[in-house]
Amino acid sequence: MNIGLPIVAKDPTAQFKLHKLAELKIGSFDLSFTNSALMMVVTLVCISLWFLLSSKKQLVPGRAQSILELSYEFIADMLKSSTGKEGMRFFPLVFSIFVFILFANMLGMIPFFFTTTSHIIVTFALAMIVMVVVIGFGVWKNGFGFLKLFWPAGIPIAIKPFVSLLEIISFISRPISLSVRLWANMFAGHILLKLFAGFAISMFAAGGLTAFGSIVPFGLTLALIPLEFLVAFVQAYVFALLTSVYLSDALHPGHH
Amino acid sequence: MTDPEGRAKPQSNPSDIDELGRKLDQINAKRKTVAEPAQASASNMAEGLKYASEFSAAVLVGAALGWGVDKLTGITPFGLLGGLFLGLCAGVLNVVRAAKEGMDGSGEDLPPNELYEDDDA
Repeated sequence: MNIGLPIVAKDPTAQFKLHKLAELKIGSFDLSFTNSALMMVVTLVCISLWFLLSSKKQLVPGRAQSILELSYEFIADMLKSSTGKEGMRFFPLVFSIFVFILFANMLGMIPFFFTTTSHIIVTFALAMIVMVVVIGFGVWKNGFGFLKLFWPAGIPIAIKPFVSLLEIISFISRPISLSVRLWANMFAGHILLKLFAGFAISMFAAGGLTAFGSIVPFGLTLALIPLEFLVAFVQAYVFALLTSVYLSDALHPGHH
Repeated sequence: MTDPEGRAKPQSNPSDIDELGRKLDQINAKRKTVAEPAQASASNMAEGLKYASEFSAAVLVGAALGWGVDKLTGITPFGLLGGLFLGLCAGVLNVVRAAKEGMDGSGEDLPPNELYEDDDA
């Protein structure tokens, strides 16, 4: 029984569909402006607005400024505790990544908004930015000493080449695990929400006793929403935390 | 140990030690409250996805490298097999490291370089 609800409400993956808002082709590259790109622009506009609102530099901070100061201290403390004082030169990078992911995740929680971070190519690009900085800075600062990262101290020489191989694979897997973690959390969370909400709607539409049972998926949807907000924040934090852990490898490759 | 006037103090006052102990307790309590929320806030699904992504990423990379070796040298099944095996090992290494370091910021008590030092494994 269909009471005229759009079929989109039941397809949990429809929310991740990209559609072009403006065509743009350079050579064979399709650089069209999509809904994902639009959401990134919205994210940036929101962040800029937040920064603008806090730019009065009051001695007694207003709401926006005090949130900004809190976030600054939050990220600065995390960065200092995992990389030491010299890691603070990466603060702009880590803070930008944190704020971007946080805003992208949070904006994705608004109904009918697209979640940029639910596409693995976006999170992978973010992870690759981190890895390029880690490798670039590590080689620039330590030269060949950066390779000590793959030659751990304190294990017998007999199994050292084997462990070194494992370290190399482990290192290469970092951008993948970093991007997959953020993407999978956002993707799975949104699908779960959509599924339970869809159940609630179809069960309610079926009428009778089933309609009464629709309270269960409805309650679950209600319970999932705050959880998703939590995940949105935690994943932004974890991404920033791992970024600073990896950056500390670039700073001190000897002991990781 | 000297007091503000610069005279040596051979015996420390027991109340001083109590004072110091109390201060240390305060500092420790403060540090604990700082470390706690990050640990408590990660949901179970996020926790599971953390380990899953750590493990599967390493297996994928190992398999891809092995496949590349196959393509380059033509020892067809063995590169992929070896790569998968190495990827599996690296995945376990990743998971152990993730659990020890506490990627949610809860691993302050375990320095990450202990992975190779202890030999009870």
